[in-house]
Amino acid sequence: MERLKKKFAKVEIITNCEIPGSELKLLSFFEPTIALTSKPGQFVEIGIPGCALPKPFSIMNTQKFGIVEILYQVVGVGTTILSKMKEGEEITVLGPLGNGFSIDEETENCYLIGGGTGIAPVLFFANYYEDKIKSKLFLGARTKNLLPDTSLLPEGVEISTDDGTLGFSGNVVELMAGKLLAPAPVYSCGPKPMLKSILDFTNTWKTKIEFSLETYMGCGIGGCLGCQIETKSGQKHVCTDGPVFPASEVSDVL
Amino acid sequence: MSFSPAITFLDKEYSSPILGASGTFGNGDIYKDLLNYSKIGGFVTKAVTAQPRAGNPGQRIFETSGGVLNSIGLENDGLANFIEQKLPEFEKYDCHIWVNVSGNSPEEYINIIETIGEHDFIAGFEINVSCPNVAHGGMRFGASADQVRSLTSRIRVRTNKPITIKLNPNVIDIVEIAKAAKDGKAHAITVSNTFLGMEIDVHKKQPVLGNVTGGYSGKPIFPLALRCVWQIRKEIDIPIIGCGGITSGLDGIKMLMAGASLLQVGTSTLKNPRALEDISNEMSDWAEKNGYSSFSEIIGVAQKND
Repeated sequence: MERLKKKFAKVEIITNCEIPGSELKLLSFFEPTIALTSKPGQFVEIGIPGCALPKPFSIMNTQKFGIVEILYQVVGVGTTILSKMKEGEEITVLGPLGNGFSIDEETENCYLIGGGTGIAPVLFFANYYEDKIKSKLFLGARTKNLLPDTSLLPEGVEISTDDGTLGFSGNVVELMAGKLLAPAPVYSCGPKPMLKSILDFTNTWKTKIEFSLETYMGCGIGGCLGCQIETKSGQKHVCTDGPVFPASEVSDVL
Repeated sequence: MSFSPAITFLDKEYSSPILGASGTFGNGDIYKDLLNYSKIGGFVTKAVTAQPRAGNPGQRIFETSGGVLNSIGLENDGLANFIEQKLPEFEKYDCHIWVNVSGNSPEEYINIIETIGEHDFIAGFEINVSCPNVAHGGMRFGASADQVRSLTSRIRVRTNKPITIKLNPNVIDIVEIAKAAKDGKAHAITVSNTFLGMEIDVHKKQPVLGNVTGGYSGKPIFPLALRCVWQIRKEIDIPIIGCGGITSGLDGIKMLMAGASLLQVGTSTLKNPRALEDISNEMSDWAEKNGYSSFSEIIGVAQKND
């Protein structure tokens, strides 16, 4: 496969606001090369002032005219600093990085399953392949505030919350188990216990099942070797071999 | 007279005093689309070991207190793969390449160096006696003056290429170790490597790194590395490659003033792939504004004023 060039740029923040009805934040910036070349499942490394390492974020959406959108939740020092940054302030961005989800020519239907901030890459998938693949979207979170308002989500989305504050009460796999689902490719991103449940739930399916993994990362481009995982076919690096892996390959690390 | 960022080190001209530090630059292939290699001095390869090494299990990298802890554990594909896959690429890169070598015994270091050979496109060998993340080799050699002296002198006679000993800063008296490297006839010393550290996850009530301890790098270690360069330069005369926590042009200038002749930048590259070029440019701007015509005029000036 031809190696696509990555772009490193200083960009100004266009949007950095709370997503209505939630504690999640939407970050957007203008970087046409990244916007035009990114595929669902790929990520960017964002350099936040005051942080020594860049932070990896899945791409949630791109606009034809060059805007890249990121979804994040404030969880640590880096995202705390980022959340306080204003429009017009500068961050750095490196991307697009990683492999992204793989789709087969004949794929017509699929299930997209997102948990927590892992909803970002599956929302990108739904949007990106809208004309090509009919996707059924399942999104889960601990509680209502950790999901965007349903009015902002694609039509027909099924939602679950662990505490029952929105949609189905329970986890997203329990929600799926209550439906009669015909086997189809599955693309998912979210917490490891969720991915493990999906693997168990689909264990008789002979379709493609792909998971996008989240891990601590250094450079994001294979330089530091900080993000190794043990897969069924040996040691891999999430930044360059992933972040998307066939589910069966990564069952031991879930 | 206009300012030139070029600097001569061990009889070779470097277009900038900034090199990419070992372990943060891969083997050069990773940054070739992101950085103009002709504008940097060069880079040091990821450590080469005789056999392939998988590296350490569990979490390997973590940002804490403004710096970075890592315990990669010298993951690399081994000597044979290095010679087959990596070495042929080096000719394409328009900068000086130092090969970092790590071993468990003097024989292993010598075997690696002799097997790689003396190619024109290799500037020299950086002898890693300071990796904090492997049980054997690495730091074990670097903590003993006698072992550094003996290892250096044994390697020195087996290659015509320059060697620089990458010193271990986790010692009581780094000057004593630097003297040992000089006595062993090293051409230069790299001062220095990461500082041994750790972090604890209070929720999990356990160390963050899979290897428990790791090497600490980045901005917070700059004063520590600067002190190492200063103390060594004060006592002995040997070319020093300054390395540790350089994140700005001004840091680079300070390291030269303390007595380093060449510099390495590592952790900064992880966040900014263009850090080597940016820091080099910032250094040039400062030096030019302050009336210097070359970086060589700055080397050790603070020592003279002490």
